[in-house]
Amino acid sequence: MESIGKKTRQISLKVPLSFLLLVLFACASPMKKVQVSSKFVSNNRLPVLKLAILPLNGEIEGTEFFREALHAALMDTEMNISEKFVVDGVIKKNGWNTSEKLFAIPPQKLGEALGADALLYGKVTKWNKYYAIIHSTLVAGLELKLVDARTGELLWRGQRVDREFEGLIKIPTGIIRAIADPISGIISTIADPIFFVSKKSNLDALASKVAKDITESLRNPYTIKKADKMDQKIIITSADEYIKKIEENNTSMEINPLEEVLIDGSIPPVELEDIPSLEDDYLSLEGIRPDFMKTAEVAEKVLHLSKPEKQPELQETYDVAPMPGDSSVTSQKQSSNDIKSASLKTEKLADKKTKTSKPAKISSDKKNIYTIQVGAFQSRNYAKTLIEKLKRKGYNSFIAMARIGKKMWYKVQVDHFQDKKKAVLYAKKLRKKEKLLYFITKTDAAPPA
Amino acid sequence: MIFGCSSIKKRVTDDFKLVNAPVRVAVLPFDLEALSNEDQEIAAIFRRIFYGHFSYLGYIDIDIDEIDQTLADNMLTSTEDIYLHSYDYLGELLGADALIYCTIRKVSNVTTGIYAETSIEAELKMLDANTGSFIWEADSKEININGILAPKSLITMIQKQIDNSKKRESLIRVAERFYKKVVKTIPDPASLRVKNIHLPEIYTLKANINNETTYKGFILEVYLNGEKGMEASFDIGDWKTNIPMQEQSPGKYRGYYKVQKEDLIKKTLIIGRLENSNGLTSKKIYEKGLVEFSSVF
Repeated sequence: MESIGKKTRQISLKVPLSFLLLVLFACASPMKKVQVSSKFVSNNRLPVLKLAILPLNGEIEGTEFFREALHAALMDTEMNISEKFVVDGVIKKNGWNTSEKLFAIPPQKLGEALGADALLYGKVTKWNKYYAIIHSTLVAGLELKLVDARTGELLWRGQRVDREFEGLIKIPTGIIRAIADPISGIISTIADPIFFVSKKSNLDALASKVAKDITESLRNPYTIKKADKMDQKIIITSADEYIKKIEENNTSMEINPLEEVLIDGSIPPVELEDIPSLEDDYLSLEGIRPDFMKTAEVAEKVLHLSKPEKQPELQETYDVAPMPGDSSVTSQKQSSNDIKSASLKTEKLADKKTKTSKPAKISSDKKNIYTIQVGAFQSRNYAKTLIEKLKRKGYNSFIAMARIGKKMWYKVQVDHFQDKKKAVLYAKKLRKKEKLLYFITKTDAAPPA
Repeated sequence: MIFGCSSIKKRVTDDFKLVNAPVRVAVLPFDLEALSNEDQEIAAIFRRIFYGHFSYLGYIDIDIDEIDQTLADNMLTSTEDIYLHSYDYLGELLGADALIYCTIRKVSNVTTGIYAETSIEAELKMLDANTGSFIWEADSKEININGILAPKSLITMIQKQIDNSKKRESLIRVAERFYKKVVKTIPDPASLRVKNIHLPEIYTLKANINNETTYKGFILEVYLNGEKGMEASFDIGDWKTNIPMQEQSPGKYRGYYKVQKEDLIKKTLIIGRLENSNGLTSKKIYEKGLVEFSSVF
């Protein structure tokens, strides 16, 4: 009430102001402008994003009202809104306690710190109360930008200014009211403006209204008009600079990724039910396999330098090895109850065929022999565990050791093939039955007898 | 201006301490004593309004849709059924430390021409899902009146009467004020949570890429080393997101993506993500290189 008293003492100043307001705002309608990135909204739906609502910039009281109102309004969207305490906690922890600091950080880094896919930046542009005895006005305005934290792209932006009046110049009811007031009491003409500006809940309600209106297109994407779509893709400058920095500071691939996963103490990846399957053509595109696989292969070849360079060509002597328990194959080539190693069977078949064609033997040191690698471990025990499991199921599996850098790796491989296509076919069946990740690799090792 | 009044009687348990405040809270479906179809819809709207404001507080609020789905999966489709079940059963079912119940005693919207009234009366409480003891409760009432009882001009009065005749909009307007005020009476552990914020930790993120273009068939492999037992995934910028990663040994996650014929992206970040059971997420960007896919081989 003290503040109202102060304002009352300034009547002489406020009266002219009220007439100025009459001229300026009498016919004012809420100003609202929204722009949306074309890719942000498709089929009237927003992508499911984790959104962090950042502290707003601007007049402090206004920022608090608006942030809460925005949070409540956006909870009604398809976006997943980050908890406020998480956003505030991360900001505090990182010492980004001023708007300047916060807004200077590339969106990608902010998104990384907050665990968010998108960021809502905002600024309170208007937060004013005007009081002049017979008239009062509340003004609240907000500018928002929604930025993709993965790319730095501006997805959506909006601005809105809204006003609420009470008193004589309330148009159209204000002037009529001046006539009608004798009916309901002239007192209200003065009383209403006083209560209007002094009541905190009115400001709060106006902030809620502005927040709801400005986010209407996020809550109801079908309201977005064609004219609201941005003409071009806009990337936030700091985001662009961040990408350039990564590009310039690029160091070549620093790791053998196997190191990250298959370390000592790891569990052999025996049954990875949910890992999506590799597709067939990957296996035949050896030239574009990930570099770490090539590295492993090179390292392995170095270990076997003492082996003869030239090897006699092998003939294609056996069919695709049957899978253990594969009835369609076993029914032709073996008794269904006698599950033995696939390799042994194929070798028997090979022997049979070679006897009738050329008298070539399967040498123990041939090159261009393929095998299916299903795991690589630094722990021999883990490799053995996988081998035993595979052997129990009837697969001809074995360990190949390879030194990569300073570390020794125990690679678990299944069977040997002279024809890569057949290795691929066998590997496909292996994948289907055992859900094992694999790749086809050449080996100099001898097929076991 | 419309003439309104409100009253809130609130009570917080004497032994409430922020450090012991529940973490995960489930806002149960609101109960309306008179249950017409329209009322049920109003109760659902009110619950969403409350939830919108409640989620601003320092609790981890379980998503309403997730709550409803879990309840429906367990044949709990009416508030009568739900409220009959014990707090510990509901808490366990929903994975909540505390439950919020709301019984709406009265909702009225009257427009007579010279008098319009919209009012809401409700009782809300937050119960500890382990002990059943109350943490907070409020008995609240909000009335908005317009007409001969409120000092208004004739024109304004008529205008407000018309506004009030749109029952749904009018109720939502009053409910916004009502629940906002109610939520302000709930003890908020946000200050403590801000201090002790802990997101899942990601120690390293690595990938088999540099800034070179890769083509069809290339397998992008991503390795994340972080806290064990969480849900891990990675994004290729905003182009492909939430690609699942498998935890191959405790805290060691692996995921991959095989480049397809039609894939075409330029200078894109690889971002790893780890999410705990409370839905708190942390991310890490692979900063050693950007990924580029080209359909030309």
